[in-house]
Amino acid sequence: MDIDKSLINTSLLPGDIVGTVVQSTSTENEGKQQPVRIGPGLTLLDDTLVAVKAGKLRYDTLTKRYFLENNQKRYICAVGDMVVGTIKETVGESFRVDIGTAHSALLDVTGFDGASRRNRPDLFPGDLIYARVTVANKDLEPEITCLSSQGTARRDWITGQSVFGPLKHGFVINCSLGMSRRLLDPNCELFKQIGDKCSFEAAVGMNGRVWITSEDSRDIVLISNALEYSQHLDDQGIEKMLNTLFKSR
Amino acid sequence: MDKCVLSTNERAFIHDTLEQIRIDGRQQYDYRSVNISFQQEKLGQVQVSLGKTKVIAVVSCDVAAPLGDRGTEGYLLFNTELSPMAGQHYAKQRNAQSEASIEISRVIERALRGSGAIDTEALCIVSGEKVWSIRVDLHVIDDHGNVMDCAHLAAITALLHYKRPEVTIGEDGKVTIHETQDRDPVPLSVHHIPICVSFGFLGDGTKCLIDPSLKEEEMLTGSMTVAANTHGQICAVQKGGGVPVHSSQILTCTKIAALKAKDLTDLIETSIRNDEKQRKFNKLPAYARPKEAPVKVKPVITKQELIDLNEMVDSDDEEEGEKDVVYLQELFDQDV
Repeated sequence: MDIDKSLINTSLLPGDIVGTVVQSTSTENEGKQQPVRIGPGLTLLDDTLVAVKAGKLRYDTLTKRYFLENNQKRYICAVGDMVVGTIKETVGESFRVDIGTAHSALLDVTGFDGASRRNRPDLFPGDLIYARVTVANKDLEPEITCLSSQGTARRDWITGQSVFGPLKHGFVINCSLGMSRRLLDPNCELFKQIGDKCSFEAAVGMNGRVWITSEDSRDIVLISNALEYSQHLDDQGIEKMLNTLFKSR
Repeated sequence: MDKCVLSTNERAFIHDTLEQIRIDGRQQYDYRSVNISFQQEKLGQVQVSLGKTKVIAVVSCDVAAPLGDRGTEGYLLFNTELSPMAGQHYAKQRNAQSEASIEISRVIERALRGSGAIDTEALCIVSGEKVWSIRVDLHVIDDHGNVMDCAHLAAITALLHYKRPEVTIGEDGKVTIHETQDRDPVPLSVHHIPICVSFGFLGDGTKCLIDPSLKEEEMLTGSMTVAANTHGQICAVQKGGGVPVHSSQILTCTKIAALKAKDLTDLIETSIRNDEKQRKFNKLPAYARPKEAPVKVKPVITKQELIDLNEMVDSDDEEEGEKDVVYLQELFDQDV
């Protein structure tokens, strides 16, 4: 596999050829050829490696794979994603939840830590929940759950301290998928900068939805607008914008 | 897919904060920021963005036969396209138009043609035979609430910007439509500028907002559009169903609409004037260009060469003349 290294960190469009499979017959090369690992946004068509999304070609040194960093608004489910969803209706023993995908997701009624048939949260249409995706297949309806995953602490839903579960009060803003990925990055300064100005609580969904709550409703308005504006600003611009917004506080 | 699924949290929040401020920081009667941009090459193509809502208007013209009983009136047609590009919930339209797009087209048509803002009599070429048919295509490229106002702004700005070809009728009755290179195109006859102002009603109809954004629109129980101009005249009113509203509330809305119309009309006129200046500066083809000068043809033989040849041929000396003939013969032999 011969990848055009000059294309790394450049913008590509769907259909652009990134690399080609090199057929080598000599035995000495066979041993040296290492498999090339690819991630989202790239696919192998016959003998060529082609970009299928619009974005920048990146090479991740941790996972040692090439992928396309793109930004879009339409969310497509992936297993393991954390999402903010709205309950639409109760269907038998599950809830139908809107997470922004083409089809609504299914959430089992007992899919909460410490929940059983008799002891389960009372959720009505319109309630907000924070969940994670367990089944994401293009042929099936997506499935989500509020059970804690391997890494997160396990707290019963009754305590209200669990990571996943219903979200009370607050407001939701819609942003692009790239923005929500940026917010989840541990290096992201934005939440810290806002935290310097006022106290708040946030849940970031990979489906482009961010839930924000604070004690004062005016603060919620300020924070939600700050996040909306920061999508298209650089670091200096964000600093200026935050100072201007929170000046009136 | 649903347009906008609002959770109970969001509804409660929007409703509670409305007492003090709207979710995007606006007050009750504030418009979002309006941005008007013109297409560089052609006249009559405008993109208007009202906050995040974006609409493109394209004006085109054609010659058509007038309707039987209105032989002196031209056509003014509006067509609105609401494609999935505007929002995930807009499905590809199976039948030609959806209810929402028809409503937008009809309200804009009533405001602009019904009120006499655009003079259709001025579109007549030959009475009873030929009239201009002006067509405005509105493409909604992003729906973030209040497409009606945005589409109307785009339509009226495009019609003010547009210039139709000049027409002359010869003595024999022959109609000539001139190209833009030959004769300056002519602007449309606009008498006044109506502006659509949309109001949203919440709850029992007592709370009123101007220019609802996407999430606010989802919460509305009723809505009304008032088209007014800077003179305070009401050109059209549209209230399609929704919560019943008291007559005093409607009169208040019409007064507010007249005030907002003034601001927006100033904005439109300023942006059109700026675009005219920009075109003049860039020498863009919005004005007639003079016919290009004829191309000079280079002669195959220079004048001096011709004089020398004539001297050789006119010389008195026979010998020299024979020599010349030989010279030329040699030349011919060489070529062979």
